[in-house]
Formats: sequence, structure tokens, C-alpha cells
Amino acid sequence: MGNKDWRQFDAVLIGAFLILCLIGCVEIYYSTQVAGESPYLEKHLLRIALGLLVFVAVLWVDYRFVLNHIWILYGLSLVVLAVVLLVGVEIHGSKSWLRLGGVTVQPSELVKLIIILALAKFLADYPDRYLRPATLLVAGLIALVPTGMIVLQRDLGTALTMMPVFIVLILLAGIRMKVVALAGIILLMLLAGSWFVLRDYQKERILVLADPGRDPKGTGYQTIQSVIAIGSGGFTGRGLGEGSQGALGFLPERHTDFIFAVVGEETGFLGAVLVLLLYGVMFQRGLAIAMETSDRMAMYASAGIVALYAVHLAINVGMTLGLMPVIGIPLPPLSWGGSSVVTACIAMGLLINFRIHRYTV
Amino acid sequence: MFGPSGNVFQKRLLLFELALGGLLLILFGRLWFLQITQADYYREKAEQNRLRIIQLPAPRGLIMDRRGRLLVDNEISFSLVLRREYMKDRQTLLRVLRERFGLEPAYVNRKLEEYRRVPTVFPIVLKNRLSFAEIAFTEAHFERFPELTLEWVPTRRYLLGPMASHLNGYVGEVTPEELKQAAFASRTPGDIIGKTGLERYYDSILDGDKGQQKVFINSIGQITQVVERIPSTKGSDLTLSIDAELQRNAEELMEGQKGALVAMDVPTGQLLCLVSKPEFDPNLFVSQLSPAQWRQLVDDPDKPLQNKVIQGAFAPGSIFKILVAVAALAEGVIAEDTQFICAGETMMSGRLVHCWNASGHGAVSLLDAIANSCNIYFYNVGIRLGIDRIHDWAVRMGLGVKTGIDLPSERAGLMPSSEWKQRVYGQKWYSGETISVAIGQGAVSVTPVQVARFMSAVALNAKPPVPRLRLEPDDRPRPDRKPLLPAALHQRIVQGMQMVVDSGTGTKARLEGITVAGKTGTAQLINTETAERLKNYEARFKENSWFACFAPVADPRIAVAVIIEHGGHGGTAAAPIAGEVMRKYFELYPPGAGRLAEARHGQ
Repeated sequence: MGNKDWRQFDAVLIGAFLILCLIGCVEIYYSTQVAGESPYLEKHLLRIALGLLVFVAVLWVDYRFVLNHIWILYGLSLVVLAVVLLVGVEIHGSKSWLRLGGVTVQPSELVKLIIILALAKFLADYPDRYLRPATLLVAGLIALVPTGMIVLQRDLGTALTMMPVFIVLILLAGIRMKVVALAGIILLMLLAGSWFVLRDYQKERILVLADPGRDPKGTGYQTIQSVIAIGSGGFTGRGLGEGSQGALGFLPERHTDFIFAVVGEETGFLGAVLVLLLYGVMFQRGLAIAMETSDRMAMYASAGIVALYAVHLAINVGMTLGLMPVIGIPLPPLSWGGSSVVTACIAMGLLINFRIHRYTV
Repeated sequence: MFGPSGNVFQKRLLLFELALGGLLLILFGRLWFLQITQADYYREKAEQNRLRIIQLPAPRGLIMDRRGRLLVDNEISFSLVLRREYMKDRQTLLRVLRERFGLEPAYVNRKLEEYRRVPTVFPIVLKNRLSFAEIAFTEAHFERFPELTLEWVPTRRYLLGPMASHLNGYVGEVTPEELKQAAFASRTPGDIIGKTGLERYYDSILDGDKGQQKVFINSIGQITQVVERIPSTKGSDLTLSIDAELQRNAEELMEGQKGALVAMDVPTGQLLCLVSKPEFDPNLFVSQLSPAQWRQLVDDPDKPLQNKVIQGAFAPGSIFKILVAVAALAEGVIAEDTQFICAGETMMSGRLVHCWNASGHGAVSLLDAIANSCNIYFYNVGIRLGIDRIHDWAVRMGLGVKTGIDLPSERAGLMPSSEWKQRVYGQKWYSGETISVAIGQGAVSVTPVQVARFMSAVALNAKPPVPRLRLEPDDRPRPDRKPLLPAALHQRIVQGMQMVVDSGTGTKARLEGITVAGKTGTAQLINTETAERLKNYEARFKENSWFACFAPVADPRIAVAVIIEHGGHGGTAAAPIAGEVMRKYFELYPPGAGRLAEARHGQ
């Protein structure tokens, strides 16, 4: 296919992404030096390499081809999620993993992208100024069915990230104020109702946010240790590998969900702000792609992707800063976790794909 | 293209971008607050996180006999320590503790319950004296069970094993109840304290000063750096007046018996040996005593944990006649030549009473009465004295009152009086009861150490010294001794007691070349009438056999009291043992070789 305009390749976006990958590698290396832990860095580099290969592969296919066959992928996703429900492996309480050969993958990560693409395709096909209730309902179902299956895998964090993404896409598509109000009320009721559905440990995580001292050994422990780690970093940080919280292992999940706390501890305010700015650059570039494309599908999809990673950032960083409850979601591409890193590479690939095909039909 | 124009989307995307900018601003703000405003606070928090203060246990002081021979020392061993802050899976832990360390879940759970209110930084010692296999297992599974660690601890070793167990006592972990007591106010949970015996009485001397180590640790508790180390200081040593060889000999003599034996240095009150049977092995308490073992010790009807020398209250039997004799002479109710007729039985206070010799002793003098232990004589003397004068003299000579020995939980026994009966029963005292007390039966009960002390009082003709186990450098006989009896009268008593050993009821305590003054006692546990009805009565109703003595008569040095429970006649069961103890003593400390107080630096 000779319809690609390589001059449109967004080097700034990919540059920011790669720098984040690099920072992730450094911090994963320093945070896994506690005696008794095997070297994680090697594995992480392998995954990034794999992710970059996939990234290149994604560039090669015209996104329109993919989006026009998105319902096949969507259907496949449901099948895979069903398989996970049946024969999945449980890690950290979530049965959302599949063991394939020697590796375990978390299909729900990739499914999130597919949901976004499916919603993009669906919304682009109904170009009204405001969404009709029926359209809204179908869009809701498209998001809800796979998300519900992810909830059934007890992977609440992953499922939770989909809600804001959905809201962003709906708002983007246009919605009347009275529908917003109605939805808001329904949402509030759902939230209130969810209190009775949530498992005790999930409730505890929310309560502990208000008062981390409530359970200093359990859920609150993670938040306390994380806030201590970040706060003790100060302006310039304690130096790579010098952070006692991360390097001595007081910080739990330090190379995965709490990697940002290690960044904050070891590189201080400067490093943490740099990371946030890099995400900011990525979001800005992603939205620029959305604004510049003439294809609704691409516009929705890139906005959705930005929303997805913005939600990851808000929840994950918010959690390490003690602003959000402890919800176990990673911070790709910074944190350890193969599926999320590869998925992030695919997402980058899609963004670039939208851009290099923007002037071709 | 129909529907909303591109401009609408541009506007919406711009709003989204602004929202994202807002999100980043919130995160920046929080970072600023934590890392710029509060940085010092969190830096300190992080320091506290990794700084730990580890207590270094101090070895307790050694316990030695009077010649410096070790009785109790310490050995360094590994203990299994549970650090609750690292505990994850309780069920797995309990299983491993049972399978690998033989610790029952009930025991571990009880420990955890005891420590529930104690901050988790206090480790729990689960087992002492680990085997090599247990040490290896703990080391090898550090990652799986970070809550299980090894600790070098000095542990108590009782070199004589069960010998002198009641004397030394044993140590153990301080209990929450003990922590509330003033004596242990400065202790912290997990501390080892003296529980009984000398370990308890001299706990503050034997206990050393704990050391401290400030270390940096990582999250699984491994020490990454030692910041500061204050070594522990061993407790002070304790030198006893006990002679280990005499003790060993006495233990062997009492082997298989139930009862007690104590020997005292007459001038100073220092105890030379102290035996209570049956015994227990204090080393059991050092490693973990299982609940079953503990129950067995506590429920044993022979009370192995009881130190009968100071806690066993027994009727003194005929030994008490010496006291009655002293009191009677001192109070002048009899003269040294007063005689009574013993016809084997007589009517007294409206009832028929017997002498142990049914055919009677005939006309009995004080000397004969002591030598042959005539009951009828002392019934008469007792009636003349009355219970309250008997009581006062008994207390004066240390019977039925605590001696003040340097051991915990001493019992007083009981010396009745009319006031006592009125107080406890609200009744007046009957003279018939005085008759029983006069021969050491009835309500009166004494401990063996009181009897030994009483013997010293008789030997010295003075108020008795307080029995001591700790050898004080300046333990000298006190010079100011007011005689209890005029010398001539005192002489009569001693003469009677000498006759007991030379030709009377206690000849089995006789020594070659050394004059011994003693008295047998055969204390009934049930009254004579019942005993006769139970012809071949069971062993548990058999009389307690007493012998108390001092020697040499001319210059009293050693006083011995022996009781063999259910031993029968005092002259047959207890006297030979007392004789052997004295023989050994004079072999170790020959009569011509100066006083004992100077002899302790020999060897």
C-alpha cells in the first residue's frame, strides 16, 4: 500500500513515548535491587522491543481497513474474554490472565483499545449533532458488554478505566444537557448502589483514602509508603537507587503500579514533573492528531486513546500521591507489565497510523 | 458531510485538552505540596521507616556455690523469633511451625493472643535452643517466611540438672501480669525473668543491662547497615552459701524419697544444702515446656514444683517437745529436776491420752522425757504452760513464722494461740488442744527451714539467725546474743538431745568422734484411734518422719532438718539421712579446721 505519507510521522509523540519507556526501564532497574528479586529489567526491555515490533506492524496496515472490520475484532474480544473467564489464571486476585506457553497475557488490556475503536466506528457512523437516546444506548452496550466481562474477572481497575473514556467519547459526539443531567443522576445512583455491591476490600480502599491511618498495615500502608516515598524525594530526589523507600522495599508494587512513587523518590520534583510533562506532550500530540484528521473515526479513536491514557495517569499517579483510592492499574509505558506496554505501543502505532494516512483515501 | 460541523468537534477537543491540562495542574500542585512544602517531614518519615532499634539480650549473672563452683551458667544458642510485622499467611505459618518446629498451633495462637496489645515491633520468641535442622530450615526459608528469624540469645543452663532445682528456680518470659508488678516495671515484653527460687529472689542482681543496636533495615527486615551498637552487660554473679558437694550428697541421700532436707551453718544462718523431693528439671523451662509437660508438673500429687523446705507446712511432731521444754524451763513452770509419772496412758482434760510407749516410761525426768520422747511428760508440761506461752516461745524461736530466707513465696506454717482460735473460729481455746500442740500435733505446722533454724537457736541458746543463701562477704556471727535460758538449764536440754542420739530414739544419726544433739519426730497425719482401726493403713496415711539435730555439741557448727513424708518413725527414716549429711559435712570441713566462714576460700 503506497498511500502512506511518512512525512506526517509524529516524532515528538514517539519521542516522548520512548523517553517514558527509558525512564521506566531505569526505575524498574533500581526498584528491583532488593535482595531476592530476579532481574526485571531484561524482561522489560524484551517487552518494549516486542512492543516496538508490533508498533511497526500496526503502521503497515491502513487503519481504515482495521476499523471497517472492527466488529470481527470486537467479536473475537468477547470470545477471548469468555475464554479467560473459563480458563484464566488468577494473579493478585484478578482472574484476567491467560497462560500461553510460557507467558501470561492480560487480554483485557488490548480489549480496551478494541472497545475504543469499536465506539469510534459506531459513533462516526451516526453523525448527528447530538446523540439520540437509542444511539447512546447502543454505544453504552458496546462498551458495557466487554467491560462487564472484565468486571466478572474481578479486574475492577481495568474496567473502571473504561467509564471515563466512554464519557469522553460521548461528550465528544455531542449530548444534550438534559441527557447529561439524567446520566449524571443515574451515575450517582449507580455509585451509591455500587457501595452495596463492592467487596469489602474494595470499600476499604476507598475509606482508607480519606484516612490512611485507618489501616496502616493493609491498604493504607501502600498509600502511606507511597506518599512518604514521593515526599522524601524533595526537589531533586534522593538519587537513582538511593531512595530508601523503593530500594529497601518498603514501597509495595514499586516496579508496577507504584513506579511513579519511585520516580518521585529518586528523581524528586524535577523528575516527577518531567514525567508528567512527557505525558502532557503525548496527550497534546494525540489530540492534535484528532483535531487535524478529517476522518471522524480517526478523530474519535485518537481522542479515545488519549482519554484512556489520561485515565491511567489520573488514577495511577493520583493513587501514588494519595489523591485516589488504591486501584491496581499500571502506568504504561512506565511500569512493569507486558500486556500494558505492548498495548501502549499498539495505541501509539494507531495514532501514527491515523496521521500518516490523513491525506490519503 | 452532514451533522455537526468540524468546528464543533474542534471546540469539544479543545475543552478536553483544557481538562487534561487541569488534571496535570492538580498533579503538579500535589507534587509541589509533597515534595517542596512537606519534603523535610517525609524525609524524616522515610528515615524512621528504615531505622530499627534491636534489643540485645544480656546474659544473666552466674550462680556459684561457696567455693566458686558453677551451678548455673549461660550458653549461647539460637532461638526462633516471630516478627509479626512481616507475617502474611497465618495458616501456612502455623502448619510450618508444627511440622518443622513441633510447635502446636494452640501454643502459637496463645502466644499471639498474649502479644495482641504489644506493639508489633516486639518480636515473639517461639522456641529456644533450636536444633541444627531447625536453624538450617529457618535460614533457608527466609524469603518464604520473613517473619521467622533466628536470634542469638544467652540461655540459662542448670549444670546440676534436677539437683538444687528448687533452690535455683528457673527463668521464663515475663508475662503480661508480671509486667504490671512493681518488681518488673522496667521490663519489656519478651524479657526473660527469674520465675521462682533464687532466679526470682535475686532477679535484679542476676539480670544484666540490655544492649541496643541501631540498624537500617530493608522492608523484609534484613539489616543493611549497623549505625550504632551498645553492647549488653552481663548481670552480677551470685555466690551461694551452698556447698555443691554437700548438696549433691544430700540429693543422693534423698533420692527416691518424698520430703525435704536442709542444713544450716549455725553461727551465721547460711544454708549449706537444700533439697526438696521430688524434684524437676529446670532446663525443661528453658526450652519450651509443652502444655502437657506443664500440666503434668502442676498436677503431680507429689508437687515437684513446690520447694518443701520453705513451702511445705508439716506437723513438727515430737521435735516440738524441745520447744516446749525450753519454754517451760524459761517460764519456770518446771525445774530441771521436775518429774512426772508415765503409765502409758492417763486422763487429761477429761479424756484418755496415751504415750507412744503403751507400757509407760515410769517416773520420767526432763532428760528421760527428751531422750525417750515421752508424751505424758509433755502433756503435763504443756498444760502448765498454756497455749499462749507456747505460742510466744515458738514465735521467738522461729517456729510457725516466716524465717525471712532469701527465697520467694515462703510459707509461715501455723502456730496456734487462743487469740488465733478466737479470730479464725470465734471459739475459745480448750486445754485438750494444748495437749496435742505440746507434742507437735494438732493445729501447729512448720516448714523444714524453720526447724533447722530452730535447731540453730537451741544450739546457740539465742534468737536464731535468718537463713541466708547468698554468701555475703561480711557474714560473721553477730556478737550480741542474749541467752534464752540460763546456761545450766540450756545445758540440760542439750544433754537430753545428746541422749536422743547416743541412746534414745535417734541413734541412727550418731557420728564417730563428734557429739550430736538431735530429736526425732513422728508426726501423725490421722489420729491414733482412726489409725488403729485402719490396721494396715495405706501409705498415704503413714506418719511423716522427722529428724532435727546440730553438731558438734561443744561448738555447734551445723544444724540439719530432715523430713521424709510417710517415712514412719523419725528414728528409722530421717535420722540416718541427717547423720550422713553431717558426716559428709565434717569430712569436707573437719571440726579442727576453723569456722566455716573462713573456709570458703579454700580449694
